[in-house]
This record gives sequence, C-alpha cells and structure tokens, in this order.
Amino acid sequence: MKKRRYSSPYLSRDYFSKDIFPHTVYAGRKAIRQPTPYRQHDEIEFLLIRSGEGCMTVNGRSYPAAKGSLFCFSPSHFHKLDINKGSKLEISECHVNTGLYFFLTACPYHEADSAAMPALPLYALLNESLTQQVTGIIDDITAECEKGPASENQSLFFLLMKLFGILEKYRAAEA
Amino acid sequence: MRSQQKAHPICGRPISGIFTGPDKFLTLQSVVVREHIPPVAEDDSLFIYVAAGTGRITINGVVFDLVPGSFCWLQSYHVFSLESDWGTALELQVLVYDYPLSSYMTYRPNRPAQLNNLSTALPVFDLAGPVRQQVEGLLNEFAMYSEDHDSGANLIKSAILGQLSYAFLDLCTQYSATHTHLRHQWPLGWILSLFIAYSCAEDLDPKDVAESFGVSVPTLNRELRMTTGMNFAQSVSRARINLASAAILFSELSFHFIATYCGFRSEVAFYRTFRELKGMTPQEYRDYAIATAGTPRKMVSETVERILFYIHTNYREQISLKTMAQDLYISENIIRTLLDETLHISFKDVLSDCRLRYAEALLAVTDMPVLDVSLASGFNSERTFTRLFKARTGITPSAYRTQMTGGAV
Repeated sequence: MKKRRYSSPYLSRDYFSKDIFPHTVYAGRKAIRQPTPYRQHDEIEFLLIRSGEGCMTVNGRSYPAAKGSLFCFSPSHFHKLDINKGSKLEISECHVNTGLYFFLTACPYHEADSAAMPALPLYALLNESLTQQVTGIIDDITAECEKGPASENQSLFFLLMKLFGILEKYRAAEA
Repeated sequence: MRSQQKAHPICGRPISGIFTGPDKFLTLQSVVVREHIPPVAEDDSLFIYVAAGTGRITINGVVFDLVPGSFCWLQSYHVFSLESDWGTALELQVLVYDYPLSSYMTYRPNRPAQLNNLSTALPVFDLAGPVRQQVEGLLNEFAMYSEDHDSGANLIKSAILGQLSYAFLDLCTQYSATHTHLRHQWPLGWILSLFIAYSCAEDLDPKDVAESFGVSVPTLNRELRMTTGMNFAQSVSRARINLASAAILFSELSFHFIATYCGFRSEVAFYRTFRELKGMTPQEYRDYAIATAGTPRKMVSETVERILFYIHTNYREQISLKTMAQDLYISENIIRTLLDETLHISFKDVLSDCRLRYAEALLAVTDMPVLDVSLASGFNSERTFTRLFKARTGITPSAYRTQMTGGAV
C-alpha cells in the first residue's frame, strides 16, 4: 500500500464519514468560583452565563460576562474567564463537534456571509425570558444526550439549531 | 374521526398555491374558513392546527372531523378540501414545511424509520394534554419570529418546524403501534395516491399497477379521479415534477440526472411535463427559486461542506489541494470548481484565512516567537506568514502583538 505522507482524520475512517452531522455533543451546568486560564479546543462551544459577573477575554479582546451573555467559540478562539471578586459564576455550556457548524450554516434559508468560521466569537446579550429559554434548551440538550448516540437523535439537532439561531438573531453588532 | 370504505368524491381538478408560495415559506398564516373551500393540492407539505371552530377536512376521499386542537400534517399527495360547520368559523394556523427544508433536516440521505409510519398512520390527530401544550407553545414561538426573515430567525423557525414534525411523528408511531388492523379500511383512491407518491420514480405502467391492486385500468382511473381529481397519468406526472422541483434546488445536479432520478424516460419528456405543470422551464425555475423568490432557498451540497470541514480541521498541517483530493476521494478540478461556483472563493483563500486566524490568536494570547507561530499555524516559513499577514492586516505580526497586548508580553 502506498505510504501517505501526512496524517489525516480521514485515513482511519469510513469513506462516507459523516463528520458534518452532530456526533459528539455534551452539555451541562457548572458553577465557577476560580478564574480559568486561556483554553482552546477543537470543538464548538456554546456558553451561557446564568448568574454572576465577570469578564470573558477572547484572543485579547474582552467581553462583559454578565447574566444573559451567550458566547459561541470556534477552534481558533482562545478564551479565558475572569470572575469579579466575591462573585460566583453559574454557567450552562454545550460542546459540539466542529463539523456541525458547516451543516448548520448550510440550512437552505440561512445566508452565510462567508465560508470560513467567524473571526470574532459570536456574542449576544440576552434578556430575562430569552436567558430562561436558552437555559431550558441547554438542559434539554443535556437530557437528550443521555438518551443515546447524538448521530441518530434528530430532536437534539433541532435544539442545537434553535440555540444557534437565537445566537445569530440576537448577536451584538461587531465593533 | 371516521374512516370509511367508500370514498367521498370531490368535484373538479384541484388547485394549488393557496397555502404555499415563495412569500409563504417560514411564515405563520392565519386562515379563517367560513364555508366550503374547493379542493387544494399543494406542492409542499403543510402543518394545519385548528385554533378554534369545528368543521371537516376531506383528504383523498376520506372525511376527518376538525375540532379545536386538531393537528394535520398534509403531504403533496394529499388533495384536501376544508369545510366549516354551519354557522361557525374555522380558525386555522397554517405552516409550510417545504420538502427541500425537510430533506435537509433529516440529513438528506438518511430516512429515519419513523417516516415509514407517516404513510401508514393518519394525517390528522386530535391533540390533548401535554402534546397539545407542546404544539401550541411551538406555534406561539413561531409566531414571534413570523415576520422576521433574517438568517437567525430563519434558523429558529426551521428548528421549530423540525420539532413540530417530530411531535407529529411520535403521534404516528403511537397510532401505528395500536391500530395495525385498521389499514384495510382506506378507500382504493387513498391507497393508490400513496402508492404513486412513494414509487413515482420507478417505471409505472397503469396496466401493471391496476393488476397488482386487482382492478381494471378504467376503475383505477375512476377511483383516482374521484378522490384526487386527477387520473393515473396526471397523478404520476405531478408526483414526479414535485420530486424534481426539490432536486432542482441543488444547483450542481444536471437536468439529465434529475430526469432519470425522477423516473422520466428522457430529458425531453421531463422538460415538456415540467413546462406543462409549472409554467416555466427547469432552468427558469432554478434561477427563480434560488435567487429571486420571496424567500430564496439555497442548497449547499454535502461535498462543499465536507471540503470546508476538511480545511478547517487540518489547516495546521501541511495540506494542499492534492492531499485533500486524495483524502476526500474528490478530483482536484471538482474541488476547485465547486468552491468557485458555490462560494466564489479559492482553496488558497480559505486555507490562508484559517491559518491567519489561528496565528492572530496565538500572537495575541501566547508569547511564542513569530517563527514558532507561523509553523504552528501551518505555514512553511516565517516569510510567507509575514507577507500574507501584512497583506491582510496591514501591519507586521510583531506590531500586531504589541497592539493587542499593549507590549505586556
């Protein structure tokens, strides 16, 4: 067999690999008391601040992290979270495989402005009722994840799509 | 709800375009029916929820009673007419769930097993309890975004349509599990139109079909005309054109392929039938539906998505058009043309975009030397990196780092 020069995720996989569909999804609630250092991961992360105050720094730019802040980080976003003194942050987060981003933006009714993933993280400041709705969606995702593999769970995909839609709809204009 | 052996006849050929149309996608329509509305055959699937009033809906020759809380999912093979009870108004909420969207939502090639239940169960259910609350909640949520047509709102609405369809499929699964013995009660016209919708892509001969259902060809045509207003040949052409008009939205499919895929003997036959039924040629329809309709729909092929995903996961390694073509089993020329035609970009642009973005992040966040940054983000040399970086941002990498960190690192 011809030896390949470069490693590729496709070498070990099926020819019709379904990487763009949801297959790795996990979600949950967390309470954070300590500031976190810079982190980067090869997944899309949705992060909602449910209560508390702090400051989110992404690639050197800072964003206020208050109740109702919803973020979406792609693999090129290094992010760290600072917490105001005496405060405790309650967050809901949801990680999905990167390929899903391309499938979501390929929705027939979605007009993507570019082929690449966004340069700046998507950021939205939601009001009270939307914060509750998004918390509910992430809780539902957590519940759906326990039911079985994500690749066969369509309701999970609809929830992720709604989450992404809310973020797109209410995202703050880029400075 | 009653089903009967004998079909309830309709009069005249059904009309289309009452509930669907370019300006009606992803919009909540409130419809009030005060008397009888003539038979309708739409080209896309519809959700109908009865908010108030009572009446009847006749679907393919079968009469169903409508009460507040009735929830219907009508497909393109359903010919239906609505009628309100004497002296009352039937208040309906109508949503269009078009086939391109639904095929996207079910991941295109994979047909979940539940869809099989859809054809054997009822198209109308009377909701009660938690399911009714769930459906009403989803409809109210949809109404909030009904007038917005930006990308975000469209995604939310598409997700709601998906959730509605799954709520309906759950009902179908429950029904099929408990009512297996009732299927023989449907009239022949009902069964025939289902059969045509599901096997229109094959070569259908009226003689064979009539024989397999145990009737003569005139009976076949009469039964179909009585329940749907169209004879066998008309029903088959309509089903095929419906299939084709969803496939046409994938701009990289050739008309020759679509014609064979939808069961036409030749491309000429496909063109002729398409013009007869849609009033325009396939090419005109493609231009109209993709670019100029009220809510344009664009289908991005899965291949393009996989190409983009490949670049975005592997940009830190030394990939080129050649290695990608090898790994994805797609020819280099096809990759080039696909990217250029659908997204108007080149492979190099996407690749350097990804690499520069990652490099920018590394510059702002870490104190790695510029050479390390350029190698870590997939560039071969510091010079290439600096040249591209300057072309994009207008400053050198080290100046960018000073600007982002304020000289702290």
